[in-house]
Amino acid sequence: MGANVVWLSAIVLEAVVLCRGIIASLTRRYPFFYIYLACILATELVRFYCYEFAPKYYQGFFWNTELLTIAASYIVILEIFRSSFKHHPGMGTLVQRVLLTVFVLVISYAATDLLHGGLRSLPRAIAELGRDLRYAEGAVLLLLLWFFGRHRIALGRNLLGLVAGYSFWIGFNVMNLALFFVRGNEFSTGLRKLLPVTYVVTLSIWCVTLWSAHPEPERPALEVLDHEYQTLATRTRLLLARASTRLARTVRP
Amino acid sequence: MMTLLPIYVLGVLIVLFAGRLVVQAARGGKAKPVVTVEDYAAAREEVDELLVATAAIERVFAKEDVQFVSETCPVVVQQLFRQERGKLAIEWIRLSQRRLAHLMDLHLKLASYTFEPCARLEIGLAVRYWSFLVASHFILLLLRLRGPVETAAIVHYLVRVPGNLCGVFAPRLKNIDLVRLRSNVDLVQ
Repeated sequence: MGANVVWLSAIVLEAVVLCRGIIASLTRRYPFFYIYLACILATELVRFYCYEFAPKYYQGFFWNTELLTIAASYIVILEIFRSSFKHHPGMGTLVQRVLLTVFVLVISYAATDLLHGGLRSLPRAIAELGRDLRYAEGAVLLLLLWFFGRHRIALGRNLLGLVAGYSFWIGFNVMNLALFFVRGNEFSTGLRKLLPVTYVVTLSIWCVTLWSAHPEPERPALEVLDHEYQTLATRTRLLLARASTRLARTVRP
Repeated sequence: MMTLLPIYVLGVLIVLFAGRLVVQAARGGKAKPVVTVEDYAAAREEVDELLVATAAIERVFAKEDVQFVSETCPVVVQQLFRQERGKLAIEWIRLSQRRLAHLMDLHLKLASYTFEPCARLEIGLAVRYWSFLVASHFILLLLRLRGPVETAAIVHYLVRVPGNLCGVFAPRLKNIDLVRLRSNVDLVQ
């Protein structure tokens, strides 16, 4: 009964976020995110129907759709990347290269791991592939978050809410999946219950922050700086060098 | 279980970094949203000012005043003198850290708007900045534990020892005959 309440509240919240997105015209600003949310809502409705009316097919159906939803969640990463680096084209190119490298490395590692382990059963293989895709997504998201923090990228209230909610969901999902694949934990009911609750929290964050459209941060008029990265970096480097030398000289008279 | 440790760390880091982003945004909401070249120039001037005005701070770490006070003043005054000097030195290093952090912050913000940021240069800058931070925190720790004069002596010693060792080993290395060394190694084998 409790699980069903959490499940139904997640479906309702997804519908609310989607409706508010359409009303506030946020679907035009973040189209990939809302496509993802619509996919999830459709999947959840079909899953619920399957759980209620054809429970013996539910487990197989769950893992197949889980793989699909994890693969679809990559478009949220794409949305975050696209929206956040809109005013930072140079940094965007740099980040894109790093993200692609990390993604290829993690996926290659996961593929070799999957092939090395052998395909014992299809549901198990699908579940492991889904888990590895989530880990890769987590690694890419972590890098994005690090770049945002390091370069103080201004996100705006809507995008910040989207990123915060998504990171909360992915972070807990990664930890949960790792615990789930530990021997003996496969049938842990505690772990099964924890994930839907974190998803409802995520949806609540999205519901609050994406309720209405807030202005996005504007690109400052910095035409002079556009081609002066070298000068900027050299000035900062010289000043840092002088500060270090001065510190050493002062303390060691 | 141990193989899953990096995965837990990944999950925890994602949540922590997201939290940091929210905190940064909450704090940044009060600050000026757009950084200009003038802000950067002002920050550079502030750091410059700090670097120029260090003649007085050098005196804080110097031995002369301490020697004078320890020879002429009672113990209470000596203690007070050391405490005041320690506070001044700590305050100066903290101010340096704050101003450089502000400068780096502005640099990173401005660099993110440029069309051709260079990863190698950014890594170099980050390494320099972190080296400064590590060194300054080490000095702060020494200042709290030992006071300014002893800190100066320790830093002087730490910098001098490698120099002295190089001075001792350099002539010895010059005198080594590589042909003879090789034949001796062959004999041992």
